[in-house]
Amino acid sequence: MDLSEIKNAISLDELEKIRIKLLGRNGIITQKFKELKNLAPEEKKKVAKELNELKEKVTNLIAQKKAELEEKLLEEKLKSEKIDVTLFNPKPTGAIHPITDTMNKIIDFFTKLNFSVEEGPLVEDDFHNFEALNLPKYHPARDMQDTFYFKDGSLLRTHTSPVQIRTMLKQKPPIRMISPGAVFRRDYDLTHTPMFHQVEGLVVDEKGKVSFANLKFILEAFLVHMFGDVKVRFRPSFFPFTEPSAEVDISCIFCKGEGCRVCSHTGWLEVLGCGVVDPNVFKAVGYDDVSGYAFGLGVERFAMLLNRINDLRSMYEGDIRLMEQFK
Amino acid sequence: MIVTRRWLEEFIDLEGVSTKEIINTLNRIGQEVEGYKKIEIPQNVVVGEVIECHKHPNADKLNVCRVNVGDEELQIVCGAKNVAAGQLVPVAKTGAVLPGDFKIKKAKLRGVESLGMICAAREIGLPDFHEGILVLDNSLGELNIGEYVGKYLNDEIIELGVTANRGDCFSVYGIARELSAGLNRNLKTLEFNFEELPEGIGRIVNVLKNEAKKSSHLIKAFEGKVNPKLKIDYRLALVGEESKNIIDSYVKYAMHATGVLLVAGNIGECELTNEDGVDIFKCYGKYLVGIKNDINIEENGKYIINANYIDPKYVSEIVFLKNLKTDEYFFRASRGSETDLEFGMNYFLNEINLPVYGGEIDLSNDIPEKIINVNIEEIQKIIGYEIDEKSVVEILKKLQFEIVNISDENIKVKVPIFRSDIENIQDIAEEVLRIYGIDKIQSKPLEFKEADRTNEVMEELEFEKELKTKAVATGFYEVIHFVFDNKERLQKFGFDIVDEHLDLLNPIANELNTLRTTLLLQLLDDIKFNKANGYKRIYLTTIGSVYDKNRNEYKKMAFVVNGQADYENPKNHGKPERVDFKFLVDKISQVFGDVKLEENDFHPIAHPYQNAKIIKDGKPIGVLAKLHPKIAKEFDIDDTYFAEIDLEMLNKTRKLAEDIIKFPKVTRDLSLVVDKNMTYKEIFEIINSLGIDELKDFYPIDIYDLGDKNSLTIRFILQADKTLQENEINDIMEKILKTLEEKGIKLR
Repeated sequence: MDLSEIKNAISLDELEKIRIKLLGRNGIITQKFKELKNLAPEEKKKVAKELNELKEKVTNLIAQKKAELEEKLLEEKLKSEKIDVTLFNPKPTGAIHPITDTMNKIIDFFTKLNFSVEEGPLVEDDFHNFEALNLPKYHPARDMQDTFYFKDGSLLRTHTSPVQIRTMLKQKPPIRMISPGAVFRRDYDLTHTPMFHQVEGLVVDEKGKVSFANLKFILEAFLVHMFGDVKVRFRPSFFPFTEPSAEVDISCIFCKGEGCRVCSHTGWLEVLGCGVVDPNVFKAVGYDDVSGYAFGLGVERFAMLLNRINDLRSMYEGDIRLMEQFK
Repeated sequence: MIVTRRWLEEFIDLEGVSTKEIINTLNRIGQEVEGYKKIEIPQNVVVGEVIECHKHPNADKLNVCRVNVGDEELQIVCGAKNVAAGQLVPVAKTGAVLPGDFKIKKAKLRGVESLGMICAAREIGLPDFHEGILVLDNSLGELNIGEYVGKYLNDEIIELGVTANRGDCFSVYGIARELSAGLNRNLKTLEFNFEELPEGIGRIVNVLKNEAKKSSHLIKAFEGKVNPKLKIDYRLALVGEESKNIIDSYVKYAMHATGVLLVAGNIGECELTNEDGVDIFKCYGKYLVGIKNDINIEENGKYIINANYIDPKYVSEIVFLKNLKTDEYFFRASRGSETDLEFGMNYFLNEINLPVYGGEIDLSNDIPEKIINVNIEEIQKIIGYEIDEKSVVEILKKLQFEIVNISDENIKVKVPIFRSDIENIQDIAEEVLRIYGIDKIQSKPLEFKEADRTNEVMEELEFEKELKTKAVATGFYEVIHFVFDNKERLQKFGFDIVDEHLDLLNPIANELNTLRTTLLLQLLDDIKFNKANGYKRIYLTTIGSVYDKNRNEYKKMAFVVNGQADYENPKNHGKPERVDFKFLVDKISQVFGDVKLEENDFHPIAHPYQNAKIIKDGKPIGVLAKLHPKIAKEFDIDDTYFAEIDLEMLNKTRKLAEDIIKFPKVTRDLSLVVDKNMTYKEIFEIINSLGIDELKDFYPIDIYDLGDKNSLTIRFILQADKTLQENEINDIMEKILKTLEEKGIKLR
């Protein structure tokens, strides 16, 4: 019997026809089974065995071919459904502002080290913003901070430090806090905006407990967390509310300390101010026998360095050309 | 504060110390170096002597000069008006390359050969501080003809950011004093020479009275013609100081060098008075001591010079209280000017080099001594490092502190009088730390008691972060703006403004002249800006403080959408839909969750008929509306939708779960004929008031215009604690329909 037509079948329909021709009620093999009764017992047994074997073989061949054809059909169907996936590149919108993103990263670092977060009003008074921070009215250091005043004598805070004062007045030591937020100086040019953001930190504990070395530790850890593999340098400086005071530099992240335009060829980038809290500040809030450190940083500066933003003012212009780069 | 290396070398021996080391040392001890510049005159520019000059035969404005440059005489054509025989001048010989890659070659100018160039300051890379060619003089040192000019003029400029507490460092001498501590090198002893006249000062200067008890004065007199000196003009140019006349240039020079306040005047009768607390030196003009100098000098050959000092705190306070106008004298005095009056005086007289009348008028007060007891252990605790007593003593000595005595516990020190900033042990700790070197201090983790320091502020920040993250995920760009806006435009668009008596006193610009009372106007500015940059999908959000008219602060979050609702792509054939009311509603609900809308009465910039209150947990939290087309026109933008939400109105309560019903949900739709002026909310209330337990949800799915009425299709979702039977479902729908019919709403 020629079984090659099963192999050569090209459709499920054709295969079904072959199946009926061979195994159907009147099929060739079925007929041969019917003819068995005419054979002698010896012969019958032999032929029946052969027929059964043939039937099984044919059934298997058909099933096999059927599976093959079905697979081919599905493949063809899938092929017909092909799309050009490269046509579907999305154009998403939406991004977190780099200032927010940077601020969040800073807050996360300190809260994970058991700092609390404190806030205060943007409209402040002279006491909290200046006087209590060892900046009496006539102090020349007030020139450093050109202030926005209101007609009733209030002012827009020039730094986040008044939150230190408010927190110390409200709570008792030990204190371990940061205060993020907007601050204001009357200055508007290429490198200054009248509003910008700071994060301030304060730690207060018993007298003799908190030292400059402790301050150095946390800021080194913080700056490496933010900027990765950088060198950290402390330079003595002056702030009215800390003594000793220091400014903190990191090795330039652009030129790796070689000297470039961004770091004014010094190899260093100034990123922080800090110091041991001045006793006059503690006196202003009525704290006795305590020690503490404080630090403050400009969030814009961090954001510009971390995100390689060159124009400070562009961050306040609602400019999608800038923002879409952070999607 | 700007110093130059050569000027520093007048005061301190810097031999063998590189400028890099100087800069590093200054930075290390707290004198921040903010700038550095090397002044280097090109090679082949030498000192030449002009032997003779005559007019160029073919050009009126040119001179032909013979110039001796040591090994030869050169003919040089020069265009400067001030060139003259006998001058010593910088000559760029052929082969010299001047700034701007200007190569000096043999040339013919109008037919006359020229073998070099006589240079102006600017032409050899110096500041442009002179007219015409630069005439050299011996103030720079003994000039040798033919010598490289850089030997006299090359210098290095170091710009320092001296902090406000260090008045003693606002001079070249002050910086030298810091360097002497930082580098452990001695200061030079200066020698001053000037001719003394036999006549005493008392014969020609009369101080009629002295009521100026708050300040110290040392007055001397001199006479003669004041001659300019190149060194003075050059150095003042390098450090960026300007002077009014020759005498003023010497005054400025000596002040910059020594830090002593100096005022020059003419010989005659003077007065030291005190008006209303302000010390005044009157001498043909007024000098408010340490505040402002308005004395004009007549160049009559007879001069006085007054070196003075006033307590920085006193002068700062009086200027603040009286709101006085000030000049650079106040800048120096308020930070603490140099106290060694004689030093400043002698430095000045030495430079000006004119005969001086004998004696002086000394009206100085003693500056009170400050003694501080320094406890080593306390210093160690502040710094957090065991610095030994010997080092502390050495550092203090280097800084010119006088060690009064050393006991077991304390070192008693006298603060140098020029250090008005040192008051307590922490100040001393700072001095020790900065000279010892912060980099030598091992950083050390603080041991502290852990505590629950979480608080409401942190929760709120987390919440804001979550809102922003959701907004960004649904396509908004976060923007940040100043809390300022323009008062006139807030008013014009009908927003509240901060009450006049609470408003800003000194705004920085007219467009930022008040505190904002809404976030929206700035976002509308942004739409205009981004549209102009070609953006077609502008979805912006911001969180920030806004104020009411009593200047109370509120945190709000605002949203604006403008342009396309999707990007152009093959599926929408490049024609995406425009944003509409529903577009923004969906975005808002993705940020704030389950919110409801109600009709809003009024919003100053809303379309009056597309204006909704946003309700969350039963409370109004903000507004969502289409921008009024008139306002859109003002901003030059097209259809825009906005929302502004008061974050303080949001509840942050925990949601509680109910058991899940496992039986199937059944859906039924009703199409109703409703009056056009009836809101869906009214129909909602009618159905809701029935209180049907099985009715789990219902919502409008279609609406269309039937002419005088609308057809509204509502979908009902029914579910119960069992499988609902057809008759039960019908009963419920019957009940709803019957109630609606009672209110005149019929089935279509």
